[in-house]
Amino acid sequence: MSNIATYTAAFVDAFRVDETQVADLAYQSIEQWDSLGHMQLMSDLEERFEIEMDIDDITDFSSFSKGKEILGKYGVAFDA
Amino acid sequence: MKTIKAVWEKRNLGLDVLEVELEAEDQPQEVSQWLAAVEDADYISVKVPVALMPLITAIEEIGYRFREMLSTVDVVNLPVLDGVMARYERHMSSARATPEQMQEIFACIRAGMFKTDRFSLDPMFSSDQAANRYCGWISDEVARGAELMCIDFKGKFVGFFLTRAGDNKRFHSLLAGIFPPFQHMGLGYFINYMAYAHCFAQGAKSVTTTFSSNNLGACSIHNIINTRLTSQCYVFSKHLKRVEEFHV
Repeated sequence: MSNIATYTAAFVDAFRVDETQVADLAYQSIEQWDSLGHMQLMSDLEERFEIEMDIDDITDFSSFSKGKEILGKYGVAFDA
Repeated sequence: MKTIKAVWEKRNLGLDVLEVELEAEDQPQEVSQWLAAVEDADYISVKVPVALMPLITAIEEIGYRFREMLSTVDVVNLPVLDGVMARYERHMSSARATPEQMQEIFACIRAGMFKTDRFSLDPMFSSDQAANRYCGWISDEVARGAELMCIDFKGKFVGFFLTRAGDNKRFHSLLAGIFPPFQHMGLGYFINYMAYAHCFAQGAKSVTTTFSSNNLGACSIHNIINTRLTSQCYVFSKHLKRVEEFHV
């Protein structure tokens, strides 16, 4: 599975949304992405990519697109 | 049926407010007749324990509108944090609010940080009235001995909570909030957690809190932590004063 597919699947699983919706997601843009949804997503991403994010990155993780940028710092590459 | 003349709401809302709490033994017809005869109130709220359908029907028939369901729970253990949650918690602390910090909290409340209570959601009330209720309530509780605590996250004052010690080591978590600039950081869970941690650190056996069905965040948090549901009630209300006279 590609990194983008893994990344997308984490959002789909955490928020129970269709994968066509994830690209526009941002924190609190849907009810499911509240503080608990955020914890679940962060934990799931750390597990899927075998990384441990810094707390500043966890709190900055404010959207689907911002998250890709943050994961890049941990060596997770998303091909264009 | 219990009735309370909420005199403090005259200061907060500029209105004469009557609070009514119905009980299982109340008779629907007597309740509706009594409520219909009230003349010395501008606004009446009525709390009805869940599932008492004849009472609910009776007050609906005289114009009372459903506003929210309030759930009261006892938190009996501090939730165990692991993984990401534990990492957040390591950067958080709380301390008693200074008078200056209390004013900062009031300024944020007046700027509209709370949006899910039935006064903020009611277009018949202004945002100033809704904010006045919170500020007045906090002031009253602090004057009665409640603790207003500031929450620090990585050196920043991100929010607050208000707790009160009760009898037999039963504490109450009254209110908690995150300031708007920090509401996108996943801190919502911890605002509640910090309040419970503070109470248990002071020897609480349990911490009671009440949240509204309009506050999905609070409902979600209390669904996943170890709580005991102790009561639920529906809240109805009716405005008796004309709309144009309302806003203060």
